[in-house]
Amino acid sequence: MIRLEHVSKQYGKGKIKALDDLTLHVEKGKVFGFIGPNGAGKTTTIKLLTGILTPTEGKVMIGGQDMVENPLAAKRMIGFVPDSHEMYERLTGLEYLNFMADIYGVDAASRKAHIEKYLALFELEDAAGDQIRSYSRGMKQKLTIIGALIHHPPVWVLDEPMVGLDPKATHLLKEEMRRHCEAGNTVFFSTHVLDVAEKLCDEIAIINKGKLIAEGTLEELRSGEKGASLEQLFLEMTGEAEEATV
Amino acid sequence: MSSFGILMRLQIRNRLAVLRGGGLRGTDGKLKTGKLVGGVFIALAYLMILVMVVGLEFLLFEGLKAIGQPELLLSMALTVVMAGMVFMSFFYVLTSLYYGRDTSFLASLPVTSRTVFGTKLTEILLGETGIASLALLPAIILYGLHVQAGVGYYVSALLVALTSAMIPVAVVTLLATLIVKLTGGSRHRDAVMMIYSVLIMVVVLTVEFSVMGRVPEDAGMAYFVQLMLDRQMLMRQVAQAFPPSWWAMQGLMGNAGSLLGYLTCAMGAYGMVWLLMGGGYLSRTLSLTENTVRRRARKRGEIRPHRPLTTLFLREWREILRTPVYAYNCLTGCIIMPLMLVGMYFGGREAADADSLSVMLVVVQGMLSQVPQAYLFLGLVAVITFVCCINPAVDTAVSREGGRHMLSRMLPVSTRTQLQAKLLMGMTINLISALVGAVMFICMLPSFTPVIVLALLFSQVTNWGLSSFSLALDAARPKFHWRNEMQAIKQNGNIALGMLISFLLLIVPTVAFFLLGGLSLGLRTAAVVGICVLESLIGYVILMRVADTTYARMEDEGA
Ligand SMILES: Nc1ncnc2c1ncn2[C@@H]1O[C@H](COP(=O)(O)OP(=O)(O)O)[C@@H](O)[C@H]1O
Ligand SMILES: [Mg+2]
Repeated sequence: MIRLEHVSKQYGKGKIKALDDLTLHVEKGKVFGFIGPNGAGKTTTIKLLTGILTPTEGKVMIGGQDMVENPLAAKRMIGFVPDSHEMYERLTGLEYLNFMADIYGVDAASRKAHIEKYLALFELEDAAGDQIRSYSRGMKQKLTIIGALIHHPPVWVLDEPMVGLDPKATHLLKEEMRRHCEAGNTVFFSTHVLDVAEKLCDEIAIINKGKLIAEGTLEELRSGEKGASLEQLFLEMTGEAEEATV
Repeated sequence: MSSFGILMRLQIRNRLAVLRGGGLRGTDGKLKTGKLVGGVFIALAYLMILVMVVGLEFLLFEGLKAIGQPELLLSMALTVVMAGMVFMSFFYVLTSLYYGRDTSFLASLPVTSRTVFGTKLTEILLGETGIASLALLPAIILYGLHVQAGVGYYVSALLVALTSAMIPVAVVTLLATLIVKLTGGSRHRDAVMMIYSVLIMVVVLTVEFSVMGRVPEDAGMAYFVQLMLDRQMLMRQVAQAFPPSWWAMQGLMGNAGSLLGYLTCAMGAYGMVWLLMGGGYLSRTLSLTENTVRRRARKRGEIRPHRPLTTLFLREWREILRTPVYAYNCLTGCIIMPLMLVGMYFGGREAADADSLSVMLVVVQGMLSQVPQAYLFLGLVAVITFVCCINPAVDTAVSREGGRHMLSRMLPVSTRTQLQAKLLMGMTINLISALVGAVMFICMLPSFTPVIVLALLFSQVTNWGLSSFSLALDAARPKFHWRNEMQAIKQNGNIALGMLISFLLLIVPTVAFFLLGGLSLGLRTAAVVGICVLESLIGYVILMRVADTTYARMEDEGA
């Protein structure tokens, strides 16, 4: 569903190498966790996936569509929850959801059903008529999540989605991610909360300093070290990478 | 350093950061030609405005010399600068005092409300003093050269220039604070505030016009005619309308007492406002950040589908209408003309006889009916297009996205459609201004309705062209890195550039019209129309090119 082929990304006319020859394949129906320390290149990868940035080298394919050659078709398959909370603060929550539905061409009946269901689920019904600037960080996050799912995207991409959510909302989100993937869709998310990744993901990739250092199911990553927690693996791998580059 | 000094330094650094932001040399020491060229054009745009001011003052001075009272130039310039500043800086002061994004940050610091207020006020004063001094400079030099003045004159002129913004800033701050207080517990605060602002501006203009046109009672038609004949009287009235300017003028002519009177007046007004308004400033401002509207239940029908272009267009408009800073700055074009008219109407009625106005209109109609309709048509198109030249909404349409530009990039909507939505937004703003202007003209000159309507229709072609050019400019070199909405719309060179390009586009057909003097009027008109259509087409093609190339490949995803 998601294919990154030898993707590199450099910022500032080649001065900052954020990603270096990254190749990733994520299959349909999987929850894919993307983990790495701060500044590893997670957000950069996600921006490439969602067509916000164009790769310096390599190819990004979403559901068979090339992001550079056919961006609109590729973007239509994605629902995206960004990590920043920059939003159209002066729109009301409901106006924002209607906007997203319009942009992704969702018909009136199904958007109504979706909006009502999710506003109730995330307990945002009362605030839906208010301007977004009066929302708390977590409320904004919830609204972005509802907006990203409004067109039932085959690929759901989330950048550090648990940040700012209360435990109940975190639980709901995890359930929603599982449900979305059981319905035959793909979920790709980045995080540095390792237990979440451990419990939720079918597959995991670890990235450090723009390079992919491990990829596979948790079992595969553990190979050799029985019973090791993801945290141990993570610290080991990123630590090693550190020494190797020094 | 005192807390005032520290805060002041922060504000000024923050301001200058925009200039310093990208130095002209990159980190690799190479000269950034794009930046340099942009800067040169921005400087050109400002220079053009300055040249216009100098030209106007020069003409006025020639007139005053002709009637033997050149010294009136000083007082008139001061009055006009002050009156103009009260009118022009109102929205700016209101937004920078009460809609800064840094209020809650400043409120968390261990400084008093009065100190914070003082720094904000001083920052405004510095900016306005610069503008006022520049506007006064030509008058001061013209008169100084004329009378071959000595050092004393220039020293006192410097004092006058440096204090010239104090009275207007004090007045405007007073008015802005009044509005904030008046809208205290209102539910739809932003909307109510905008309505109050417009009302206040009407009152200000009424007062200004009535003071400037103060005329004896029962003067009537005879007085009006005499006024036309005897310009001297009118000049004197304008010059004497505002006592402090009169004192300043006398001060400049050597009367030390008058000069002192003026300086006391200016500094007194400023000091009073500082002392009186400073104490409650932070609590007033913080209360503005609270959301007073809480609509509970969702009404039926609020879930309604639109096409992507429409929904993007609606979003643009909502954004402008609901962000006071944007609304004040983007919609001034739509409200300024009717405001001035209403002010003139009330002010004029206050001052002179209402009959004289209608008499004047009859005279104007008579004069205009002698002129070929083609001239009238072109003149009206030019006037309406001129209003379209200043449209910050379209000049900053892309820049205003700031950190949210990333959200636009991920949408499955072509960059063309996204820019078209913005173009449509800018064009509708211009259309509203044009409509308002046209209705005004029709009310004043009903017998010319067909020409006015025709001009209104055709001006939408030029509107399309100018808006395309300005938007293409902002899409090609947006400024995403703003910290608050004020910066997003005020400290953006694209506004000056957009204006410059618009003026140039307006000048081309005008020059062509005069160059083709030998041809018949019909042909010349056709040529002008053709040039306008061509320019607009080129503008739109460029905009679409930018949408497909620069804008589509933008790497700077904001914040
Ligand atoms: N807009 C940008 N300009 C320059 N460098 C950037 C930009 N965004 C990210 N980087 C750099 O790219 C690297 C990866 O960043 P990012 O993808 O945001 O990391 P993560 O999301 O994993 O924390 C970092 O070194 C960061 O400094
Ligand atoms: Mg990140």
